[in-house]
Amino acid sequence: MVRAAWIAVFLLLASPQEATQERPLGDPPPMEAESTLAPDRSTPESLLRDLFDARRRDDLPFLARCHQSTAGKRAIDKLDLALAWRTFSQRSVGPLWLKVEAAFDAGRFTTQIDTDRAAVVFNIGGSQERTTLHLQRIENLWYVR
Amino acid sequence: MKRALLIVLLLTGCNRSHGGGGGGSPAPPVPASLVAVPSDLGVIAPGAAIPTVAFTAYDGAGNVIALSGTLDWTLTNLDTAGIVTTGSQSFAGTPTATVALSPIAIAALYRVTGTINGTAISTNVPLAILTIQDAPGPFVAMKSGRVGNTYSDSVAFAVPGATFWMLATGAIPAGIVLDSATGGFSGAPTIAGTSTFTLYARAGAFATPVRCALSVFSAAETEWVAGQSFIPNGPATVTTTSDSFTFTNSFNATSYTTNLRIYHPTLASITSPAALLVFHRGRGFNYLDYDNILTRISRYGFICASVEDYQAFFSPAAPAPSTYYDSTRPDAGMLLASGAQEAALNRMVARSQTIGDAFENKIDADRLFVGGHSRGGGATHGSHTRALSLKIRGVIDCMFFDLRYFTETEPPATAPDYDIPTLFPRLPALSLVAENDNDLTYPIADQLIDRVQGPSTAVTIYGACHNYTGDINAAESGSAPYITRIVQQDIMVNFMVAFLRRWADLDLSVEGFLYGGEWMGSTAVGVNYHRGLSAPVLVDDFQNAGAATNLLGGANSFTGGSRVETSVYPSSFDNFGSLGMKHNILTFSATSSTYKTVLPNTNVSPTRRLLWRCGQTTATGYDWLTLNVRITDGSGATSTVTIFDAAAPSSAYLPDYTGAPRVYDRFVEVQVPLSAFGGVNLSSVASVEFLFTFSSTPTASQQFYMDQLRFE
Repeated sequence: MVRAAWIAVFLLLASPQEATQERPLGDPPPMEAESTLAPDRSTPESLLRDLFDARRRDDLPFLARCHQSTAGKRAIDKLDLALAWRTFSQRSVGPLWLKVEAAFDAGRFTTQIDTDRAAVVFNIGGSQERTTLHLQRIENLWYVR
Repeated sequence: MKRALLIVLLLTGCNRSHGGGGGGSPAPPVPASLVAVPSDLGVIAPGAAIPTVAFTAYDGAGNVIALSGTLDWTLTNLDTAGIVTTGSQSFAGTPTATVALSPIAIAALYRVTGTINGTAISTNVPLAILTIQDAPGPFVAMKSGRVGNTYSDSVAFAVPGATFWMLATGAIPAGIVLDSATGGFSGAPTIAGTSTFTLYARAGAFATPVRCALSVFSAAETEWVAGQSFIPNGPATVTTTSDSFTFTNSFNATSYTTNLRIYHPTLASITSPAALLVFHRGRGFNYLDYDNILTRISRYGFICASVEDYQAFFSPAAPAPSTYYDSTRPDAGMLLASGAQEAALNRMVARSQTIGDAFENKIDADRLFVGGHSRGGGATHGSHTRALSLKIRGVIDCMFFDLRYFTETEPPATAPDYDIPTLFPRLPALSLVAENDNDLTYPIADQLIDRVQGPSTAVTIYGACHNYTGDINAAESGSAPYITRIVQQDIMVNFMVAFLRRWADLDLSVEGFLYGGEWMGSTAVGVNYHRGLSAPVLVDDFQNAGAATNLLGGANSFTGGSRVETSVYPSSFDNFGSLGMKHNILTFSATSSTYKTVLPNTNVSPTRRLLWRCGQTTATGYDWLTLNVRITDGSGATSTVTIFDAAAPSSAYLPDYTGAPRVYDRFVEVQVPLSAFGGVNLSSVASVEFLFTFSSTPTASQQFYMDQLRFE
């Protein structure tokens, strides 16, 4: 019993959310419903394909499940959706995602995997030429870092 | 005749024999002080001639007096605390004793001490025997002050390793003193105005000049002139001149030839040297593409030089550049372009110093600026990083690359790059970005403003695109600009001229334009700024890991929602959002929410405004929220100001959303005059609260973020 409690504490402290997102303050965020669909996170490419589709249908819970901050979480909350919105959907980041998707569709990208990290380099053209999207593998599933 | 002389001698002898009897003979003059001219010998090169020093005695009433004694003087090496030489000089019945020193070979700080023989009355004259290097030296825009307010600043960063600071020319504003050991300034200014002065910073055997400009505003800041516009043409008649020169690029040591187009008021009309802006084109642009903007800037009396530099990255009118710089390592290409900017500065300054050149005495080497567009803006970031060595006064970045976008520039940089620090070096800066930029697609201005150290203005031009900065290229694909090219360029010129007037001409009237909230509620631009005012009360920059407290140690709390302190932009891409810049991001879960930050009964009465920058994450502006800000003082008295009312929206502080295509999802600066908070004791502020109410519970997409909560 004690051992199980310690394991739970360890998992809590070591959870990806703790590693990547500031500890929220204020009221506990309300829980949110999951998407009716689930991303295929088996490869970087399958994750990205599903992510682009979810962006188009504004499926925020789905997008939240594409981000490593939700890895291992049994349920998602409003802060998960808020982070997903800022990462994938808010207007200011939309043009970059569109360019990345266009490069993905055209095959103008390379994926470099280093153990549990992946860097997907997209040739997006223009002055930027390219941009790199960073992914993280957690328990054999890929997430956007 | 002989009889008369005998009478005089007899009388004199009589006086002597009765001296001190108070019988009508004058008492010997009693010195009260000794004054040396010059009072400071300044910096003199080793072995060079040293001006003579004249010592004059004064009585207690401030009158010059003639002494019959001697002046004893001592030359002391302050580095070793050893006496170098001594001497005596007779006043010889004249009011002044003059000391002539031989040239000194040993570099050190010295002191000449004069003492009236037989008294304790003395005075010291500083002397530095040092080699002056790096003239005219870096420029420092010192923090601005306000009459009567506490002032503190330091210029130590300008010459790392300096051990002694001294005034070379000009005057430090009244009420402010220099700490010669640290390069720090402190005090409380007493007179409004701008002071320019030069310091010498000693490091070893060398003295580096540091040019300083320090603006002091009146308590009511009456210097600000609201509503100025530089969109109408300025008074100068402008012509253009072509130039071509060969140079060795400081970045990669290769030599090549490049062209300049110089925009300038007619040369005959330039009666005193003018400020210079060197501007670098973007990739895919020709250096001749910026005619409109550069001509209009020049109409306000500035000289602009547009740099061709076809080596750094592609230009449609030039031979193809190296693939390495153009696409393999675009970061290195931009640093190469920074080297071209440097060469253009040097070229123009050299021409101004060349007898018989058309630009002889036309360019002020003390007022140099660098700017650029797109990758030319990235080059400007590189030059910004090298501002101290380039001796520039400011930078203007247009739809520009942040070089830290590239991991290769992150210290320790990957060769051939040099380190690009996370923070922008302290220098006046103006950045102009396009809301609909579909070339550089990351919202860079919002990332920039949290990283500046000098006075900076970051402008997002709503509806603008990348390519409309130039005169030729069509709007980039996917950008969908909703303003015209000429409107975009009007806005750019407006800010660029204001910026140059502020930092080239030290014109205080545009302070409000650049740093004073004149653009709050604007439907044309989102403006953020870091004014660089001394002694603000910074409540929270939201950078601290302990988000439960602010910088003053007071508690932060949030009810009716959750909050995090992190970047509002994703860290998933490159360095995007991963530079450690954090904001206070509020997500709401009720129809009313309160963010409260506690102050330890803080005295903010010397300040004039409450400021913060904020943004929201929807594409439909702020009309989903009502925001009131409440200040509570130590006795519990409160005062509330409405910032935005969804039921009765106005543009007093935040833009009012009136429909697509305007969005208002970028940071904007809000400042509320403290006079609006009536009835609270501003010498004891206990808390600031942001009170949100909504017609319905906001969704996850409706987030509000803020930063840099402060009183100024």
